[in-house]
Amino acid sequence: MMPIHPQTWVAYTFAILAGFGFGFVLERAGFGSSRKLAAQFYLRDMTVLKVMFTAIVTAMLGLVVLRTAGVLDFDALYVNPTALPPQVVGGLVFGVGFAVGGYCPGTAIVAAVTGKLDAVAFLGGAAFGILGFAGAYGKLEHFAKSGANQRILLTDWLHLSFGTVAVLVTLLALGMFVGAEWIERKMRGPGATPKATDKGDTNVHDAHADGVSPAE
Amino acid sequence: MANASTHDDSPHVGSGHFRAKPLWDPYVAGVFLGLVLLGTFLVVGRGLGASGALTRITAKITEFVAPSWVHANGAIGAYFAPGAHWWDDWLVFELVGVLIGGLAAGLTSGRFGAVIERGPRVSARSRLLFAFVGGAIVGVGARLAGGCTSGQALTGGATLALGSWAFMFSVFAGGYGAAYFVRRLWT
Amino acid sequence: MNPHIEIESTRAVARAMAERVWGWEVPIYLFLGGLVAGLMLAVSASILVLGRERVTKAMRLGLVGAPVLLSLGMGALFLDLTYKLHVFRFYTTLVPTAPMSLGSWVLLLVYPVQIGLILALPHELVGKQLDRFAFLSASRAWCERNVKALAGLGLGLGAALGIYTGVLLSATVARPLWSSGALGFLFLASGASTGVAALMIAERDEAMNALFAKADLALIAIEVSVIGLWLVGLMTQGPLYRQAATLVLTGAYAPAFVGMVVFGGLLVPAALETLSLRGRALHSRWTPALVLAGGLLLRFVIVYAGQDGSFVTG
Repeated sequence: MMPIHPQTWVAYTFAILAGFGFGFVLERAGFGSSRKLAAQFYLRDMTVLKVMFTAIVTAMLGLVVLRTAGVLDFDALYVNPTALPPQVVGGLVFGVGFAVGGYCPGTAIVAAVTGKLDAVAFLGGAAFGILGFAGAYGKLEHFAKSGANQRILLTDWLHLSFGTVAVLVTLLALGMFVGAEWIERKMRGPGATPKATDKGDTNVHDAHADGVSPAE
Repeated sequence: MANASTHDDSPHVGSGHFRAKPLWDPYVAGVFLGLVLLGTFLVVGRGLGASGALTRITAKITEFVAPSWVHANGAIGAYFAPGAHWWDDWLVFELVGVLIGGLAAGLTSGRFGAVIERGPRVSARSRLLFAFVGGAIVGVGARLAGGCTSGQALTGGATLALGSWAFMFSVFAGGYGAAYFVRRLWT
Repeated sequence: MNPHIEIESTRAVARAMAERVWGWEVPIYLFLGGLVAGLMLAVSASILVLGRERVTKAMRLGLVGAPVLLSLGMGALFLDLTYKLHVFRFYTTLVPTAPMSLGSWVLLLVYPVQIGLILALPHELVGKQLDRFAFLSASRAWCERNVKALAGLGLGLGAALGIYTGVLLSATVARPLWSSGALGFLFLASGASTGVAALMIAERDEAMNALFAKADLALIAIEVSVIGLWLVGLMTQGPLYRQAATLVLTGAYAPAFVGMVVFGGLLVPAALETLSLRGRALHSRWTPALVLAGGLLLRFVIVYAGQDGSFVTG
């Protein structure tokens, strides 16, 4: 029965391998580039949305299939507890920081190891923010712990079955993909080369051209 | 990060000639990301994350400077309670993998080398400053929400956690809301 | 952010940490000793195979660095106060057959050969200083004439030093994890690959770097095989040995050993070096840096994990 739940040390060893895959895919998706990530918020490049929702749908459908087949015990799976007030406010704050800094924590780590010095600055800032939160925790604790802080799924909220919600999420994602493709075509305009601009090395080369401080 | 030889368009290494690889198609990358996530669900019963490990590492570094403050802190003091270890978390080990995986991916794709990525209208120095400020805001937001784009939006999204979906849409709302005001940074 | 998973096994490690006799000093010493052995082997082999004309600036720097690093390692060993008297005894009681005292004499022989090689092939850092001393010119001329012989000695002593760092463990204290003849060869192979990796970080000549990468790949392949032999040997030797091997394979040291040493410090850099030789990955100093980090962590894992299992407590 899945999840396997191996003993701690085996799980930690597996964590390194899974992290390797995670970091590798993030880089290949182009998420080691703040300009590509920030372009999401200017509707010029919808890669963040596409990768994110494809990943969510893939993993979710995998869970649905394995659960239906009786291989997976969904109740044994850790699900982030829901505490709406801090999550909504935290999300809004996070989004502002994302637009200002150009990264989120995971992508900043990948960007930093591939040499992006702005990502190093971002991570320094993130550490600062984490400490700031810890410093103000006495005042924030009440709000941070508000909300149910329980395992609440979309299925509970919508009063629908897991399969139905999965279908709805998939449809939502497909709709967003169609919209994303449409927006990208619209924003790039008729004259622009559609695909070549997001082939990754453009970003890096542009960055070089804008004067980027090679070390040594 | 400093490595002059990686700056060339065609750094010739060994006997072969290096050709930079294009990015994966977003949907293909998404499927692979989803499979990695599904793998962690099936093996260890939990998903991916990034900010949790950053919090623990930040706490550990701060502990060198101000141990008593860290130990007494309500948010991060528990990592140093008797019998606990600051590194004792799945996410810390996952971070080690992300570092190696990101490095390997960067070296094999050619997207590697010391650069400061910035918009066309912003100087390198102010980009670094805004990256730091953005990072600080993200750090606060992630701690408040109990996770980031990986630990909340991606992982919680796939397990259909209500709060994670609320977080995800809030992130997009915050980002799109702020984008207009910081457009000078990126466009 | 997420709930804590099982920590009971972590407590066991914490308990073991308190009982540990050998702290960080010993693995640092073993790492630096192996690194120096690797540097000597790599430069000596280059002198003998390629000729002294092909010795690059990076290799000369490696020669200068070797005695410095070795002394730092010895310093770390002396810091390990508990065993300070032990070290002293290594030198005072020469029992030719005892691996420990023999190894200590190897250490002392290493220095003159290293100095001879530096005199023969000085890096510009020390070259100018050496010119100031007229009395050195005779010995420098002698070293230059006999550079091949010195390199031959360097090869032999480098190998002896590398093996000694592993034998030191198996001979000192009886611990299941350490009681394997493969340990000496494992530390030799690992030391050699870290030595070559250190040269790769400093090397600017591309042809030489490609050669180093190939040598490093071969050494990593040997190291992985020796690790396999070592662990298979332990697994088939009896329950106590199997328990010791389990500690690094699935136990408390598995993340560090399997995840970071074998995967991150051997397999990933080997793959990256292979790809970069074929022009399918960028050459970077971070690849050999992974090998160095893996070599350092390997010593920590073996020294710490070895002490967590003993014949007495089982």
